[in-house]
Amino acid sequence: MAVLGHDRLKSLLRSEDYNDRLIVTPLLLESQVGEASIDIRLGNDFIVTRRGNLGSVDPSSQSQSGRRYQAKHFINYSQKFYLHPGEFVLAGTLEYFRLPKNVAGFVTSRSSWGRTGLVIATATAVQPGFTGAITLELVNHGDVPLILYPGLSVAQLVLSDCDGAKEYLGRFSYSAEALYPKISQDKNTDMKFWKEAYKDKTHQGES
Amino acid sequence: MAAFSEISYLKRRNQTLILGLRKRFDEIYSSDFPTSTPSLIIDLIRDILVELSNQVESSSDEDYLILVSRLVQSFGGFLEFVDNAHTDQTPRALVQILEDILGTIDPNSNLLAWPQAKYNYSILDILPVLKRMTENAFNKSTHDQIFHKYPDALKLISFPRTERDNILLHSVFGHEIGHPIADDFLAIYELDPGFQRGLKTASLNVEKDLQAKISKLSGLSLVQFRKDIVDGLIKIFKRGMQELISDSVSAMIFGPSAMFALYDIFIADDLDAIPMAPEFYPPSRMRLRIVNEILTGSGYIAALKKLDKNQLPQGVYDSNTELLKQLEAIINVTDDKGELNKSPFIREAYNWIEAVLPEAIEFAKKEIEKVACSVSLVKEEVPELLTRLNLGLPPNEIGVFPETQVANWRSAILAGWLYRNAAQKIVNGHLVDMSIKDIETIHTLVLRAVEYIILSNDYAEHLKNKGG
Repeated sequence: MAVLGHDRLKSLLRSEDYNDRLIVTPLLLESQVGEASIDIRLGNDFIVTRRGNLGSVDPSSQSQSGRRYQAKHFINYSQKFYLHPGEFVLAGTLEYFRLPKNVAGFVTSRSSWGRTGLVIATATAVQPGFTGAITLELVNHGDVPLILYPGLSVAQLVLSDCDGAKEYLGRFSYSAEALYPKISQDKNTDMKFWKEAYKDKTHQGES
Repeated sequence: MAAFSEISYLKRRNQTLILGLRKRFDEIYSSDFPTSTPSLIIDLIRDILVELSNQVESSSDEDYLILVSRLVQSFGGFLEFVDNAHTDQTPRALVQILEDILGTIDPNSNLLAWPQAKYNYSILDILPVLKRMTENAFNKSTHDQIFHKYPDALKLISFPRTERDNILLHSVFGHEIGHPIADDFLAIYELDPGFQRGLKTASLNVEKDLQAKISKLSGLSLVQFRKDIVDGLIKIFKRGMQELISDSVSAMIFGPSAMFALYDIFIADDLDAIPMAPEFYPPSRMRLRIVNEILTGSGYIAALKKLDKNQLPQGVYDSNTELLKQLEAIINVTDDKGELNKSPFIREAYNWIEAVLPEAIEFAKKEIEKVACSVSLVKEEVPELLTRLNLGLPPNEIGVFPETQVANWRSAILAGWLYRNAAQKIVNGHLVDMSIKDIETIHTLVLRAVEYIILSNDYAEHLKNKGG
């Protein structure tokens, strides 16, 4: 796997054929294309956990309503979002992406923000052919609250070639904002086995 | 033991009402709104409530205290506007489009968009309403002091909540923006000798038709009957003009999207229903015809037909050509005119409208010149924006990096309509029917495109100003 550098990124952005083109829109500044990554910005939508409504997240439960335990906040440009130490929120990227079918990526913090304690993504892999806005997972690991403004360049997208890939057409396609997690709807897990197969053969003490 | 005092009771009751209402507005104040106007309206109402509370404290006038009580109760109605104006219920793109248009036509106005349960679109300036409501509650200097720090206009714009995310249908707002322009025209026209001439001709013709009835009347009953004829004609004429001028404005600002939106709204209606009290709307078929005439006259219909089929996603050209044929067939039927002719009042009022409407349309054209759609967008921007929609991308820009150009939001909406009208898309090389989710995706992408377009333009302006 080779990480794509500046020239390859620009060449993909310039591709005449839409099917081969890397789309990052709106790319407000050409300088967002860095040495081997593209700087990406915070959007306006933040999802905050309403802890009082949530006992725990159980991936086997179908009954959890995202709207009940998570609140969406729209923060206008020039307005502040306070991320307190230890707080975890989801946020959509300002940009909307489309990756060519032979390119995959991952999102990571920009180092300047990382040094303030802000971690941008715990597991944001971007699949080949993905089309949509990316949901960032923000955590403040620092000791003081961080003030975030929509539009700030807080993360970077690192891309690499990907041979033999299948185009991503999953449930996060074409989303234009941060999305609630739906772990219980994850079709690729064998949850039923892990939850039930040994149920009668084991005992879990009351805590 | 203190004696019961009705005045003291009323004072306490009023203060409780005022406090209750202030608290409800305070609760809403912490919501996220797409613009600052909802908080501006809350500030204004809070200022009014604070001053009412002061007045109540110092008043012993029973009539005044009763007036305040009713006033505060009626202010409760404003809760609904701001409560639903938060970002969860109001698409930002809609607010941005309206700000773009109204900010150009009327730079001193602020707007608040809110979804209403009723299936209705409307625009109302809330400031004159608030001023009128409170003019008897305060002396002039207090009244002026409250209102002087607020803008000249605070426009409440409402849309059906069911259609909240349907940015394509919000092209209907072009019609609402047209209403004040229509009112301006009518205010000028009423002072023109042509108004009296038109009214006289129409009323004489109505009288001819009703001669049998008139011949049986005399004295006051004849005067009253003639007055009823004049009043009826003016009402039907003005309402018809208001709606038809507003439809024309909608077509001028939104281009073909205005016609697709009207068709979408009218498809379940009786197209030939005659104007009826209390709203006296013109027949829907006539409204479609007027919009089509504006679009044909400006070259939009020809431009749509001339699009290169091979440049568009499969199915888009054929479906839209069929839809345009269907619309032509609808407007070529003249049943609405036949229906209008069945009543002498309506026939004469609409003959009068037919004579004056071209002049009104010319007036409107000048008024909205700065926010008018341009026919060149159909050829220059729409085909590529359709390609983007077909790939699941927001239709916000054209061209290739680094020479990408920000599209016009009108083109984004039009591309959304044309793509949605196709009702089919390519999946694995085959043309298949769009699902409802696909249609939702189109709305989402167009909403996002409009936001991007406005942001990109603002950002470019910022770079220009700082010499970047």
